[in-house]
Amino acid sequence: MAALLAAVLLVSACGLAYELAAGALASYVLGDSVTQFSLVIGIYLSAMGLGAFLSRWLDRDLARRFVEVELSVALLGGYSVPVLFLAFGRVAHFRPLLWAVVALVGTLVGLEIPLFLRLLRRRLAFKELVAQVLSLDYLGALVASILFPLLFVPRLGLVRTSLVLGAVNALVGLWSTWLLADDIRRPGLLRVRCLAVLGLLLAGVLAADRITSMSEEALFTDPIVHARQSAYQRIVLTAGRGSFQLFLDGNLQFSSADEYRYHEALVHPAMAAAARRREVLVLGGGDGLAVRELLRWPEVAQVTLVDLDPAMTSLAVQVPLLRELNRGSLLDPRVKVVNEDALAWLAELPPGRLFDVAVVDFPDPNNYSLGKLYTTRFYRLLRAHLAPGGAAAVQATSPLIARTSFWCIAATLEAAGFAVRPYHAAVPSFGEWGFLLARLEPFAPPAEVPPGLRFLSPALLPGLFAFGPDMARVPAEVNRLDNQILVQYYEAEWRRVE
Amino acid sequence: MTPLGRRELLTLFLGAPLASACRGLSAPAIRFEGSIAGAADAVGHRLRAGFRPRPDAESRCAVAIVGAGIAGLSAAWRLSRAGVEDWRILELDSAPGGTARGGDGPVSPYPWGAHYLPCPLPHARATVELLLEMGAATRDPAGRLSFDEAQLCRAPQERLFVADRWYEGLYPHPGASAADLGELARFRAEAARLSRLRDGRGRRAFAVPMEHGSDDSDLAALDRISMADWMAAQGYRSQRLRWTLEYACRDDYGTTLEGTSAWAGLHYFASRTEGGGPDDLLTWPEGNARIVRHLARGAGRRLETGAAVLLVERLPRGAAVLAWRPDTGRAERIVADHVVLAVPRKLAARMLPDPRLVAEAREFRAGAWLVANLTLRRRPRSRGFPEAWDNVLHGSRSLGYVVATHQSDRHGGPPGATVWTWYLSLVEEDEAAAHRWLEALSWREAAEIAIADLRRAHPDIAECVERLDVWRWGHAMIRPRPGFVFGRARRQASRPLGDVHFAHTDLSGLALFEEAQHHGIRAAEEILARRGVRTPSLL
Repeated sequence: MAALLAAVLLVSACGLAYELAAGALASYVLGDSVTQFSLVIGIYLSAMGLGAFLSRWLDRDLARRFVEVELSVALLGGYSVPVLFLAFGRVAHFRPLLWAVVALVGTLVGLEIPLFLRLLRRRLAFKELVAQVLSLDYLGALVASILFPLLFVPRLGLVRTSLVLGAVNALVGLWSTWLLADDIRRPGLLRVRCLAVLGLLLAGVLAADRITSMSEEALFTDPIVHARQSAYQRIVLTAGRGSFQLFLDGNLQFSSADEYRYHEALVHPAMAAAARRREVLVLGGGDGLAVRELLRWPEVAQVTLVDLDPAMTSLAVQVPLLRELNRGSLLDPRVKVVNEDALAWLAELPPGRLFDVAVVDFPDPNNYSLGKLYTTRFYRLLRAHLAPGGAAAVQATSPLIARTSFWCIAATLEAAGFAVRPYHAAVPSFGEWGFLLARLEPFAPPAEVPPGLRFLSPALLPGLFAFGPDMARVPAEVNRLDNQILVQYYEAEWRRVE
Repeated sequence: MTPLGRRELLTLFLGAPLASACRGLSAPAIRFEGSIAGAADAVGHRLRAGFRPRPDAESRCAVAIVGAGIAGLSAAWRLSRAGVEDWRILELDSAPGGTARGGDGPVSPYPWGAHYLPCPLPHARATVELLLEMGAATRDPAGRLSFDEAQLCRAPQERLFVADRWYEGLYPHPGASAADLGELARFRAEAARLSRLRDGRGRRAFAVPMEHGSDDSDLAALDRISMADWMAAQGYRSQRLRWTLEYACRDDYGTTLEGTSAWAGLHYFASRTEGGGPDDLLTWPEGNARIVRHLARGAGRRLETGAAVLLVERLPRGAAVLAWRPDTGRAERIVADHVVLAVPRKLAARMLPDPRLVAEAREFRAGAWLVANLTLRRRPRSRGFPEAWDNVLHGSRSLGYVVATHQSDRHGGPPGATVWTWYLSLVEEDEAAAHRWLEALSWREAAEIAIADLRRAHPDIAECVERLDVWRWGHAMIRPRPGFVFGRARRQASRPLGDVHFAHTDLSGLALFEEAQHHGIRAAEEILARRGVRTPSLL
């Protein structure tokens, strides 16, 4: 009898834990935890009610049915979190899927206690039965709610927790074939099924790391406050510890804590080096942060920003967090936003259209569609649209971690006919970061920056243009559309540190 | 040939393993539209039936060029460069280009056949001149050639689907043993050696155009055996190498290893480069239709499409061409000082039934192709190495697909839309049967074959297709069967008959842009010489 009641405790603890796991996952990937938890709890509890109601139609072979319900809960509940994690970002309608999974698991869990009560009916008086089973049911909930945040999630992670809970349900099912042996005829096949389900879940536990790394959980250390799948990329904003971060396809673009270092270093040396600053071109940089820095210069008459993704540039205007950080730069009347492929746009630009300054701020070249924006073809087009005396700045990944990649971009700019001055700056979220300042003719690094900056100062500038031995130039091939060698350098170099 | 059922069709043309894999699955769901076309089949049949209308008009010109494929267009291009402008081109189809023609749609232009041009070596003067004129190549003051980065094939160039995922390159690396890789290295070293090899007269062993290469007897001997025999004689046993070389033969010649002369098989690997260096190539969204457009622009209204040449008659001086326009029903007799027959050899022999041509034509055998252009609203799922320009399925009878938007930064339709051009070369020994099969093929059958093939690598391909258009090429590529290239018929086929000159890639025994261009220019230069126009040769 004690054993049967212990099973009640386990079953109810698992039941609550699935609910917690689904709520945690929902608030994790969708943000807005109050809404997500409320919805998940509401759906889950009402689905349990549905399960309890449906239990009336289970009449024969109750013990066998109970074991089968346990196995279903084990599989569906156990795999609910991994499946939802993998689905997030891959399916068009994540929320309906989430709710459907929660409802399904809730319905199955709702079947458990009514079936159990009926199974024990012959062994206990009714008032004893209700008192013991229900008190253990609530006690199980307490156990789960304590262990879930304190032990399971920190130690196992959400994916493995869910799979382990499933395994517990499967074990309860297996155990029940002995506990309820009197009521089960020929339990052999049922036990094999229990073992099979257990095996599936244990396989999941072993593969949990791979599942996790395929899901977005691995990517972000802070909760997601905004996530959007545009036609081109996955845009995610996370927030925590006093700052927020932008990720494109899982790659950090900036942290609000130190992005000023990056954007000041990207923008001001080129502005200071250029002979004029009236017409400015920004390629990439849809977050509006480089434009914010540009608009510090009073001479700027027009900024043309070319970013492929309309979702990104509209986010920069619409999301208050971002708009505050970029100070509404993209709404400034001097700024014109163009949502086009930068290479196509440059190739079709009328020959006489010249810019005094160009700021090239693309994501790192980690795939071929980005790699093309770092080729001689691209830089030749850029050069053709740079005014005499003009200057261009190119973000060029980390010269410390991806040293060959950095110098490959420098060599490519030189092959396209630019005179290049490489420099670097420390951006804590990124590490040591590299930039390339380019002009049409040889030049000395700039010595001035506008007043009022938080990072750059005239005294600091010379140091940025000096490279220590660990970042000094290495030979690298020129990146061309027909070799895309940079993507290979970049992959090889970043793989070493990831 | 009795009409085949779908299952037999899949088995016959996609290979047994695929068809058995499809068993149990339903036929691909065809929930999209499309068209099926072929190179002017209806008119071709009338030509074969000996249709001879009375001419409604008669006219004269210096040169009448029959066929607006690469050979015919190149002949006209060469004449114009020498200042001879009194020429006309008569093309049976509705558009110029022959197997280099392309199509257009809301997403991107796309090829219907030939879709790339390897960067020529400097000795291929005509090809170099054309590319300079097109702006695809430039020559620096020191005479060094460089090619326009925007027109060179972008990386990644190729990927191969093996078992369940894509891998970079075309060699099936996964699971390759040390012995496999050893044979691959040995073959590559041999190809590099052959590409450096020169004969006693300093000519390359293998060159493009092939006229620039050696005809020494030891090389000619390679033409008498098949590629399969050569591999066996050299002790190559690796199934992976065999697949790679067989793929090359299917892709370039539409033949099997047994059906390809060893000379031709090796020519593919040893003619383009110097010591096995990088094999750069030029390509465009519409494939070689880009070159066709350039050449056709120069021709202007002198290029007449929809004009079927039914008969070519040799006159004591010059020749007469009987051209018939199916759209108006009118026939015209054109008397020209010179005629260039820039059509496949079999067709030339039908237009001009001279005993020599008829006898030679029997030796000229060409394979058939099925081409499908799939307009995709989005990319289907794909595992492993990302989409390349050329995407090949290991173990499939198809040649895979090329991506029309690979070279472009802008395209129509939603983001992610593209056009894939899927190729199947019918390598069957019995060309006539393959041809009949192709003619009987319905659009739905063709679509099912293409989708069933692509579904292996892209399970959701059918859902991504906006439309699928099919082209059937009866005469796609001349076959360099063992003994053909160095055989008598082929070697004599270029000689003019009076004032009728011949130009077509068939005359080389290899279906290549450069060969077609070479024969067009050669025919034009023969005419220029007879007309007394002195001009430095481009050959």
